Amino acid sequence: MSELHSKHTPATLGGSQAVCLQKISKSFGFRNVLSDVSLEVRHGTCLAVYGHNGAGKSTLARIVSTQWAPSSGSGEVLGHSIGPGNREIRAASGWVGDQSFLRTELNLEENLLFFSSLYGAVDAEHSRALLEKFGLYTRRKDPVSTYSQGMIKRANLIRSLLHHPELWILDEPFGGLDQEGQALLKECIRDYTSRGRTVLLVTHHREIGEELASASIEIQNGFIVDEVGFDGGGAA
Amino acid sequence: MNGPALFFALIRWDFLRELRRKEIVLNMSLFAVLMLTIAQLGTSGDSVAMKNVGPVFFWMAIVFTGTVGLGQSFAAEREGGRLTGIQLAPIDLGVFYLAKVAATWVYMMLMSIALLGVYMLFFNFMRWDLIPSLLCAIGVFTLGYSGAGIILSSMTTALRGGGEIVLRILILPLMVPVILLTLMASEATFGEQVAGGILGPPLALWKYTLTVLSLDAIYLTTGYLVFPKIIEE
Repeated sequence: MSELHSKHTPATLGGSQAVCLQKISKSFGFRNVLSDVSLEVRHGTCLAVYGHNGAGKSTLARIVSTQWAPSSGSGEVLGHSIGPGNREIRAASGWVGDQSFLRTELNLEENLLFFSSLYGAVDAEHSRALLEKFGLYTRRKDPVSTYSQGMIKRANLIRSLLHHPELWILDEPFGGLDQEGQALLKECIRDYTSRGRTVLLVTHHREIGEELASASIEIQNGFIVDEVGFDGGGAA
Repeated sequence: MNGPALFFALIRWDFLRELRRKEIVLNMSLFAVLMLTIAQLGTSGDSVAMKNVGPVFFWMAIVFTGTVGLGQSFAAEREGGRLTGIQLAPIDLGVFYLAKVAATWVYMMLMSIALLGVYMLFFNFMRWDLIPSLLCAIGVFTLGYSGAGIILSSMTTALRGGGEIVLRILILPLMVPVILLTLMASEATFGEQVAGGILGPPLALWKYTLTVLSLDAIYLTTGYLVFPKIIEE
């Protein structure tokens, strides 16, 4: 464990933290992907997670989003214990990863209605506002199978925001987006945190993270090796 | 969203997907009709042979095409990480399982009805009075088949190559009790030729229905409880 890492071990869980992890490890067979990761992210901040491919940053995001259970360690997300099956965390968080979850045989409007109904958050006005914001309103009736990669990425972002999540987990969200899309996403992240919501941004583009995040960590081989912007045990 | 509302919403989306893709029912029906066609050609119009092998091929077609439908039905959920999307929603995954079973059961029933029509035509089975009891037997059989099959599909579709072979290997032993009971009940409909009387006397439909429904309930309850754990793992 690095000096920085051990210094940053939080004393208590919960409180004003949106995410609070203590000594989280994850292994697949004999391979440790994450080792004793501890971190805290305060509400209304954006934490950037850097690292090379295979460093363990997506694994960390998946654990926070409850997709995967940690092999050891404990933690809370939005005041609820992490672990698969935690519906409170799922209801209050939005996930954007490399897969869109969209049903290609349906059009985007139908997809959004499907996901809204799963979250019990059917709100036509909100869906329309998101569609307009991300520039897909005029294409909403087209089957998703006809969309380009960039459009699917935008649709994925819309899907993740349908239920007004408290925590927005973005795993490499800028890949596949054009300049306009990237600018739009950056604006969204800023807007999101300004409204007191939390963003966990996983990226290997350090310059984007530095532009958007108030704190950052770098993961290498499953260990946190660098932390920036932390003050007294939490993200500033 | 409460359980029943979620159940019906999920079924509705499944039907919409099938309406757009026209994949599962069509594939199953074509495969089943092909099997019956081969059986019919094999008998060369011999009425005794047709009476002997027809019912056997009829049930074989339902069992084998069922595995095709089950594999496709669940494989569709793996495309583009759709299952992860469902997993990340704050819903009871057991309800998703029940909705998946219900949708697959409807697809299998549609295929079976088409198959029954072709069977009546090819094998000159014009006993309209027996059709309701036969449909009842098919209905309870396919319900258990879907219930057990979706659980196995959820475990095998993540395997390399879609796991359809593994699904076929695993589901048949699991369904042996139901298949044997169905053959016994089938003897009451088709005559002793179905299993040659070796399984015992024909089983009355009501006894068959109750017994298989009990097994269906076991499959479905187990599936409801186990499915979320399979998905979360």
